[in-house]
Amino acid sequence: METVGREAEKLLSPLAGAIASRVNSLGLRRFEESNAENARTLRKTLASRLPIASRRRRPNRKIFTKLSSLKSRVDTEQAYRILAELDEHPVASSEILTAGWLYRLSSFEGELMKTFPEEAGQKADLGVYAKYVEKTDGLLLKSLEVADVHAEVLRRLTAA
Amino acid sequence: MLLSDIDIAKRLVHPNPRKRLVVTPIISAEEQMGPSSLDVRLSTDFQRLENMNLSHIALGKQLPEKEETYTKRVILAANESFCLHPGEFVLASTLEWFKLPDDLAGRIEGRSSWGRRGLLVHATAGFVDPGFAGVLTFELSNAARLPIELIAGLRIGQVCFFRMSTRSLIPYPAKHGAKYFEATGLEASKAGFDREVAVGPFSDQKAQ
Repeated sequence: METVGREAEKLLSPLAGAIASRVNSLGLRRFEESNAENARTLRKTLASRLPIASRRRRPNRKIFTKLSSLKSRVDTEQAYRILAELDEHPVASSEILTAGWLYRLSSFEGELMKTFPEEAGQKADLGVYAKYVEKTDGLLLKSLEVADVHAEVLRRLTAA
Repeated sequence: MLLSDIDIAKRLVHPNPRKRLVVTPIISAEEQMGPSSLDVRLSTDFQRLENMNLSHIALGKQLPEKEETYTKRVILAANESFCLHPGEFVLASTLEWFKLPDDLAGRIEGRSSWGRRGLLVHATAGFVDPGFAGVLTFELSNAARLPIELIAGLRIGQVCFFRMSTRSLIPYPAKHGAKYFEATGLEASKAGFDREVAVGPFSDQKAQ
C-alpha cells in the first residue's frame, strides 16, 4: 500500500499545480461550515428514508401555526403569501453527497450487523445489507436528480 | 372526505409525524395548490414499449425478468425534452416523493390543460394507498395527431387526497405483496408477481 501511495504521489505531484489552477478557474463555491451543518441536518432526513433534494426556509411548526390561524374568509393575497412558505429550495449536490456519506458512516455498521445472525450456525443474509445499500443509493440519486430539475425549473421561471 | 387546499397545506407541515403528508419538492405552492388538489410535476425517466421483437405481452411470472426485451428506458437531463408521438404510450413518474399517513388516500389525475392538447395522464392506475411512500408511476399517451413535447418539471397532473373514515387496518407498507413501496423512479408492471398470474397456466409458461 505504501508503495502505491509513493507511486501515486510521484505521478500526481507535478500535476498538482495545474489541477488546482483548473479547479480554481471553474468558479466553484467553497464548502463552508454552514454547508456541513446543513448536511448534518439532511442526514437525519435521509435516516427517516426521505429524499433530501430540497428544504423549506422556515420550520414546519411555524408554518403550521400560521396556516392554523387563517380564517376562512381571508384575503387572497395574504393566503398566497402564507402558502408561499411551503415552497422548498433545492439543496446543493455537495450537501446531498456529504449527507449521504455521513449517513452511510453512521449507519453501515448497524445495518451490516443485521446481516449476521446472533445465533451460531445460522446463515448470514447479505440480502439485508444489499437492500440497505440499494435503498440509500436510490434515495441519494433521486435527491440529486430532483435538486437538478428543481434548480432548472427555477432558472426557467426566473428567466421568463 | 376530500381535503381542501388549506387542509392539504396543513398536512404538509403537520407537527405530528403520524399525520404529516410528505410531498417533496414543492417548487411553487402558489402554482401547484388547487382548491382541492396539488399539482405534480413530470420527472426525467420514461419507459416505452418496443414491440418489434414481441408478438404479445405474455402474462407469466417471468414477465419482469424479460422486461428489457420489450421496453426501453429513457432518462433525460434536466434541460432535455421528450417527444411523445401520436398513439404512443409510455410510463412516466412524478418528480415528487410522496409519503401518505395511514389515514389519507390519494388519487392522481391529469390536468385539463394537457387533456385539451390530447395528452392522457393515467388511465387506470391513479389510486395511492394510505401509508404509501415513493414516487408515483403513471401512464402517458398521446391521443392527438401531433407529437407533444415534454420536459422534466412540467406540471403534468394533480393529486387529490381523501381522509379515511378510520385508519387502515393494514396500510400499504404492511400489506403482503406491496410491490411498489419506496420506489425512487418509475416502476414497470409487476403483474407477473400477482398470484393469479403466477400460478398460470399462460402461453409463455407452457412454452418453457
